Amino acid sequence: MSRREIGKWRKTISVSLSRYMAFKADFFLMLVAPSFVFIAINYNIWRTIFESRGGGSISGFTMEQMLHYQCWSFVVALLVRSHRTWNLSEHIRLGRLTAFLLYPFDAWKFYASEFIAFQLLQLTTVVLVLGSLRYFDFLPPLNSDAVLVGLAFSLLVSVLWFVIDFTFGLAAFWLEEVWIFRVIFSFFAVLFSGAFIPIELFPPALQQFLAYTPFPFITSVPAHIFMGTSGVSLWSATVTLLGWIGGLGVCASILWRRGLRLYSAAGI
Amino acid sequence: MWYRLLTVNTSVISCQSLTKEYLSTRKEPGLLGTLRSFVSPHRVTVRAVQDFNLEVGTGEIVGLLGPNGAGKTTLIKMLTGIVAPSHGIARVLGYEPFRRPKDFRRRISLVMGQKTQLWLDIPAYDSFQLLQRYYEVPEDQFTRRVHSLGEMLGVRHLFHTHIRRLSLGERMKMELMACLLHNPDLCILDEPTIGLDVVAQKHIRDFFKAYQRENKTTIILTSHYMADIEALCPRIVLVLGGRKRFDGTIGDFERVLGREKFVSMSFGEPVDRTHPLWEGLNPQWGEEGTSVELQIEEGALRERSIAILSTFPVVDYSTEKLPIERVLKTLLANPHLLPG
Repeated sequence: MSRREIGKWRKTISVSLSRYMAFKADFFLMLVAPSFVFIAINYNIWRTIFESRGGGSISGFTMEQMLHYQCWSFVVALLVRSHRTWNLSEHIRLGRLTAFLLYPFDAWKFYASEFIAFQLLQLTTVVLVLGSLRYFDFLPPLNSDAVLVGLAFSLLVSVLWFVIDFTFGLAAFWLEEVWIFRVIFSFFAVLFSGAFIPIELFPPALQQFLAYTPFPFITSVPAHIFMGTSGVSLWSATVTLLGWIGGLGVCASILWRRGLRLYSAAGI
Repeated sequence: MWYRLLTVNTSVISCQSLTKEYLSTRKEPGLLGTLRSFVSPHRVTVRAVQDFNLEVGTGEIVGLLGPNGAGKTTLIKMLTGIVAPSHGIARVLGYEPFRRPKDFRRRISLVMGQKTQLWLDIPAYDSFQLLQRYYEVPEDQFTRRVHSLGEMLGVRHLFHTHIRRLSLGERMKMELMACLLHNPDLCILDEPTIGLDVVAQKHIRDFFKAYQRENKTTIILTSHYMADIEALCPRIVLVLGGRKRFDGTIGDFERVLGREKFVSMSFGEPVDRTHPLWEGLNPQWGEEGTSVELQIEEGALRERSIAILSTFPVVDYSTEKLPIERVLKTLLANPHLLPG
């Protein structure tokens, strides 16, 4: 990548940061609130389930491990599932994509820069959240190696999430409304990624099936890496993840080229 | 680039048989119509632009005229590579627009009066800096250009205000600055003065006159304000129903309806509207019957004017060419009057 190209990315990221921070309350709520509500519900449900059983373990999870898993899945959610490329489908539908087609900086790079800016802010939030979870004893003393590897892996997973989200956004070239597909996908992503119920609690056949999908990467794998209980090799997980990102990236690129031929720049 | 070599002439824009077709769904009104459309949508092919040929040379300013839905904007979208043509060939600055190579994008700009291209949540200067990076404008050139354009448009004091806090006129000036920062070879202005007050409109027209004189940029302008067209465009292209119906100088356009003069008269008292003197002059009477506007053949102007002046108590008299606005209105209502 040339210095000029890096300059374009840097400036777009910096402008995106300014835009995100232009509305401070909205920004804070967008960053933390959805995941926080989810974890608060989850955490209390699992505590109630274990307390009503009088302790013990469920599929190898003690109450303490389950609550730690829920806290880590909250951290993963902040890093992986918070960013939304909703505006891509809106830009296509309302003709706002036009401006991005005219600039000599490709549209996908613009959306990717926005995503990077968001993740930079989100990383700061995660550090604060981790500090708070530890301070209030929701988490045991942190293993710095596991945390660093977990953060790096989660950021890589967030790229997968971005590519999936971007691909869904491209559906707007063919469909007037795409939000329902995204909502359905988000629902399955929460369910099958282990964000609510750890994958280990699913029937073995379903667990085997999910191993061939990208869902476990969205919560279960990174949460276990943070906890230091990951049963899979980090390298093979990373290679598989990169395979998913590459494969979906190719799909997005094909959809982009085909979709652009249908773009009518409505509204101008 | 190999596709640049396809063009050997010096045209900035060259189109042959350019056509754009859209698939559109027709829906009858009401719930029944909605259900029918859901079960079996009635799709029709709409031709927004048909067999369009156009050649525009370096440094030309061309006014693209036509009513809403005539196909002007679709044509612009094809010329800027935003939408793909269905048939035909378009070459802009030697490039095939829809391939959108970066060098092509660096050399054009598009201003859409009805859509902002700047980021609303940040100050204009931040947007300019972002565009500086995108268009790879050297720092010294950027600083010089921002300040000179800001000076010409009188908006330097607003550079650090968030775009959403600017008035429509101020925002449009910022849009113009943004589109000219990289000194494009081709600038397409789609309704740049829409919604602006007359003072702001004139300011923008004057700015473009001065800018074009200095930079020799090729400009394509669409506007529903004939004052914009008259002030800036020596050449007019009229688009009707997706087809090119006129392409010539503004003088030729004014004479499409014949060599007629537009004469206004006021009288000291109401006059007889049925008098044979008014025959064939298409009189447009004022409410009180004390003023009239007439269209008189250039050759008969002296004779007919003398007859009227000696018959009626004329207190005021003026003559001018048929205003372009009236020519356009007449042609839109009677397209059969157009040559070809």
